[in-house]
Amino acid sequence: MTRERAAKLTLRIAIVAFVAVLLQETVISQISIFDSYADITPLVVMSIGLLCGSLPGAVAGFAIGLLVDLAMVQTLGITSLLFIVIGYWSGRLREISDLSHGLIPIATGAGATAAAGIGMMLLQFLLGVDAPISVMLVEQIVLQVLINTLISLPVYEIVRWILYRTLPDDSRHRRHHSYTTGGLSPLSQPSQRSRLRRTVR
Amino acid sequence: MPDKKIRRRRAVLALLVVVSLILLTVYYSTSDDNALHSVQNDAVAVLSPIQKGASKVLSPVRDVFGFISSTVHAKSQNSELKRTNETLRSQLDQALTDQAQFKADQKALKLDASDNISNFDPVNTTVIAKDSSLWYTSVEIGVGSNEGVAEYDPVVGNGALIGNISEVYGSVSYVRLLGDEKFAVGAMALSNGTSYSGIIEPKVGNPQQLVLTDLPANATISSNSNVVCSGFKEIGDTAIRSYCPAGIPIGTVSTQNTTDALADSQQLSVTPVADLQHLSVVQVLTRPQASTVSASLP
Repeated sequence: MTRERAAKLTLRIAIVAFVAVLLQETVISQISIFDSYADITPLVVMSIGLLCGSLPGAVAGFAIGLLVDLAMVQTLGITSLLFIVIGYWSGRLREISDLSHGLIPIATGAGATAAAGIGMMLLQFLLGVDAPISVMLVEQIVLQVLINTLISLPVYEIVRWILYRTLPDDSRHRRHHSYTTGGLSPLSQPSQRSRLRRTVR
Repeated sequence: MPDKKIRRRRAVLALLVVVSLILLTVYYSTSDDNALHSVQNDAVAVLSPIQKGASKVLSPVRDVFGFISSTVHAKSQNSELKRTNETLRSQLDQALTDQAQFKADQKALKLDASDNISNFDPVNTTVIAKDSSLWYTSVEIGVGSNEGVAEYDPVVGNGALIGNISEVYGSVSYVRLLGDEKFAVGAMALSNGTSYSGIIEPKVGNPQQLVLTDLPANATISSNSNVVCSGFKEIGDTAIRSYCPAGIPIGTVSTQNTTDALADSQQLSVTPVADLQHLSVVQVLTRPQASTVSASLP
């Protein structure tokens, strides 16, 4: 990856992060769905991790978390800490496994949202805040996980579309070259199968 | 992957985690006027005009989704509200009678007090940002010290108290909602023509419920009684620094067996009147003590 492309990628990630936080705080958080709401910030961190790797994922998680804490005058560092973990593990998932399956972002999105919700609950508990930990809040976390699961694929695709031209080559062409990483074998592809049959004859 | 790259990755990760922990510790353990708070204030000063602009530009999108959400919400509440309406109608008759009696008493005592919100210099504004996490119960509104807003000013929405001002900046402020663990205000339950004063606080374990504490153990408060601001603050209790004018509605008593609850814990559960999840337009009462004119006894 050239230095110019890396700079472009950083700039685009910064824009995505800023717009995501702005949209979340001014619009999405005010749209109530079954008395809960979507939270696109962990999904954006997850998408950046899946697309760019563990290190950019962790750095983006830190930056987005810090922006959320600054924008809403919250305890600095609390969201950053959670989002670093989400960004890093999404990136690690990309590095250690094959992500050719289209449903990976949905599962990862659900995991990221659950991690953010449960992580926040644990941190609040550790900080000694008299936070309302109850069945109702567990319900809210479950609802948010469900809502975020539904929107995780569109969010991932939007982030991918914005970052596409600046992504590392292996991320851009991962689906096309999935066989090399253990994805579809030629035997499972009809066109390749007929070609193989002709070759054998 | 080369060892050097792995080591670098781990070092950056460790650095980020350490920085987060330092920020968390310093912010949490020090006073409100440390360097981190001033950095946060500067960031808010930069971000708030952008948030305000974005909120205005994107308000049609929000309104469309809000309309759909409200319609679904309203349909599900329709039958429940019809039942409540019947109960309220009978209570209204009683209240009108009480009001007439109250006005007559006021005239007799020459007591010039009113719960009309316009007396408290209300500043109308819209919610421009809402906290995403389920743990922080605050909203950002589009007025600040430039419009006369001050810390601890009461904020009303949907015709009832929703919270008070926690942070003030030039053109924006943050509202601490009723469900926030730091919220507390003097309140009273009105039941059978008698008022019982206490303190309204959020209920630990359920942010959508409140608790009216410090009630007399022998009070006779029926379920569904109205709870309103009492119009005074506890001088000895530093937690209750907000003042809310008397008569501003807060909620209704939701405890069913009130006699037992009062005897056991001197407190009752209260359901807020205002729908804290669907706030859009709110009013900040910038002169909450405006009509606290002393009585002149004959």
